[in-house]
Amino acid sequence: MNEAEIRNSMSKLRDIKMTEEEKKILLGKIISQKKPAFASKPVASEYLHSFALLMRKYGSVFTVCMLLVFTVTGRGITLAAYRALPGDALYKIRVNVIEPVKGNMLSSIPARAEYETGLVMDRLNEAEDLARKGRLGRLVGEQITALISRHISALASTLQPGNSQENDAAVEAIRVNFHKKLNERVRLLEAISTSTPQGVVANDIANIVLKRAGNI
Amino acid sequence: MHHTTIEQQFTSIYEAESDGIFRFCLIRVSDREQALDLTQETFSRMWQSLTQGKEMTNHRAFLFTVAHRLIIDWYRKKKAVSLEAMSTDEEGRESYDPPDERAYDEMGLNEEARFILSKINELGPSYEQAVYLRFVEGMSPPEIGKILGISANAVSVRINRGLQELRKITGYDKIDEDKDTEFVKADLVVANA
Repeated sequence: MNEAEIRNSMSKLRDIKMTEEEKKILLGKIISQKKPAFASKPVASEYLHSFALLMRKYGSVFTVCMLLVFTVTGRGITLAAYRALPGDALYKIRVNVIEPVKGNMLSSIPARAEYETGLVMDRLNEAEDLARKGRLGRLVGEQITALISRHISALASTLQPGNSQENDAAVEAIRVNFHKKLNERVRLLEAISTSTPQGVVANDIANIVLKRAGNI
Repeated sequence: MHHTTIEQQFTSIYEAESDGIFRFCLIRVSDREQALDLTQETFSRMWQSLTQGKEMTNHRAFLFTVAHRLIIDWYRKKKAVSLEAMSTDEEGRESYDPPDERAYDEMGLNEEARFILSKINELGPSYEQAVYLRFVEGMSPPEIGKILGISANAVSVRINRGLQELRKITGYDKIDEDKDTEFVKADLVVANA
């Protein structure tokens, strides 16, 4: 066998083929798999698509209407959250979103100190309201105490000597104002604690707040 | 790309390459039904890649690479049943069972083709696939390199040594020096391209 014959013999191996029927069947089987293959591709959100279509169809009118809807809805939620008490669904939005955002928007030290003082008073007011309504349980009491501790810590860091650019007299005035308001609220809370069944929790809150406020 | 365009593209590739892939599988697994299954699986993988919009620079190399890996997987599964089904060469590469008489009958080969196929199978895994892909499927050394996972230069070396070995075992070992040198030079040019 010479080299040409070797090459010729090897080329004869190309006669190994599928029958036409086998080819057709195989092709049909492979092409029929197209649905699962395409289904595995990411599918765009229909909601986004329909929103974009509506915007294109109605243009600026649709956009203005949607903005109004979002503003009114958002404003409604914010207002409802302002009235929420510990244990309500919207209360977490108030203390974890609305209040921190509002606080971060204040730049001056007195404004921030005033705001944080207000938050401490708000928490004490909430404790009073809950005690009057008979909803001041142990868990709610712990939640309020934790929040008050957070606000007092924030106030203490705001009034730190290195942090404050106000003169000593101004800082002292803020401190005095805070303690004055706090004492009023705590006295009210103590008065409520003697007249309600959940007075123990109210009394505990008053004691802890006074202890924490000693740092200011 | 539109689905119809993909389908047309796939069909044209299938028409051109299906026999080559089937042949590649049948010679290695020696079972027509199994070869058809492997061919189907190979083209299914390509179909999925095309429909998912994946880039494919060389369809032929892709198909033979997939088929090569599927055959290895098939032998590994078979090996779990029969430990003698797959042999390994001195470098640990996997080889295939040579076809038996029944398999030759299924392939519809004449005596001459059977003889050369049995001799190619005697080359051992290092040379067998390189020689087969070069001379039966007409692939270039870089294409073969992609399939076997080696460089084009290594492929050229295997082809030339394999061909020399084939000459010996087929009884044609009087090498025409001029032709051989031309052949080696041509493959090395392709390999270095």
